[in-house]
Amino acid sequence: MVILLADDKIQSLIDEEKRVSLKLSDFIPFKNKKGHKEQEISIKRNDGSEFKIIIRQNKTDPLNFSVILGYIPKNLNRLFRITRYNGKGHQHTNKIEKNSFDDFHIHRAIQRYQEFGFDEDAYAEVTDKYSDLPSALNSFVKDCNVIVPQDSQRSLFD
Amino acid sequence: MNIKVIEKEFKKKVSNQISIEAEGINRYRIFSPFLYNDGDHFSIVLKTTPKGWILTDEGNTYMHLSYYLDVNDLDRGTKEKIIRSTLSCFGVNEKEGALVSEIKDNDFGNAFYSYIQSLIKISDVTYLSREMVKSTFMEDFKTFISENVPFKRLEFNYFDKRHDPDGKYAVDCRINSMPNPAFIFAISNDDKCRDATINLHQFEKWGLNFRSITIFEEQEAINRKVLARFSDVSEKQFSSLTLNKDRISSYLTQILQ
Repeated sequence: MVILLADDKIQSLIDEEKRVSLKLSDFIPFKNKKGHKEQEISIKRNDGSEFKIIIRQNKTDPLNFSVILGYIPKNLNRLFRITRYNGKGHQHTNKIEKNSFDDFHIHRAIQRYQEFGFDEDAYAEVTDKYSDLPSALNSFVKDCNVIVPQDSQRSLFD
Repeated sequence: MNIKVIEKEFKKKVSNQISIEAEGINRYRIFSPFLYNDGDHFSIVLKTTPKGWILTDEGNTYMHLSYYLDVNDLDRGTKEKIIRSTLSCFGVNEKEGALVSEIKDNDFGNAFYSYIQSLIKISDVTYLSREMVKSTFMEDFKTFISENVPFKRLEFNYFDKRHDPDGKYAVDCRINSMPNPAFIFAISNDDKCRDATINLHQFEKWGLNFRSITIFEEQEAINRKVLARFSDVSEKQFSSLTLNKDRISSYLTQILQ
């Protein structure tokens, strides 16, 4: 089933406080998958829907990573990717704007792309907010209002 | 071979939009116009090794597929068959999650052409995800149940031989060796949901002792009225297999004790 979310709804989901009990150091992926490592964190919402934070890092190239904020509406089994903080290692092209780049970039769900039938997060912008996975996680928790236990952020990234 | 000559071969054989850039020692990134659905390009690296030149995605293809599906599913069922035949067909090997093609006899152009084709075909398995192809759901269901319940306690396609010798009222899976055996239904569409409703009514009529568990492929895809009638007679339900594996697994562990 296709989920269509308007831009204001997407923004409100990003802004919503997401409190997790895990320390930021626990966000570092450790589960072995095919060629990469993964960590997944679920955050239940009161209405039965949930957020998922999924972190992946390539085993060969540590700069090839992704930090995803996903949203699963109540009674649906489809993960809607709200935003994705990607590392380097591949080019990206925005299919509507037709601009390409090869740098750290942030994917973001956009109503316009959904209306054209593209993947919800097929739009991305270059970023200089981070330069590796720890700094990407740092930006991600700030931008997406993820509240981690006090001091855990400092202990990982100082 | 000179890297500019290799680039020229790639352009000639595959696309004029291909370029190669050095990145580290004996390592070159290949920029190509081939994209995934989300606008990210295929990640391909050309490397020299003691055995010769190779093309590798350094694990990026499977990592990208993981945005759309559980990569563990790539090792079983239809997806595994497609991937295995693709790798074999195009002479690509999988090494710890990386897809690797050795370039033989300096035939760079053809090797790259085959490699690109293999990546395109493998990335297409995302179309076999839960909402696209129903046939993999039953395979995924059987695999999952077999992994979580001891084999000797399982009976797939069960029917009550005493009341139903022709097997008209079948259950996808029965877990035995418990006071009330568990009847598990795997439901992927309205017809299957209606059949399961009828079967449960019939089991009640026969006075069978059982508990029912239902795993939907995608519960929200079921017609509301059909689902409502089914919910009246069913017990435990899981809205999907893919996103509830942990919950289903712990529930099965609990009832198996």
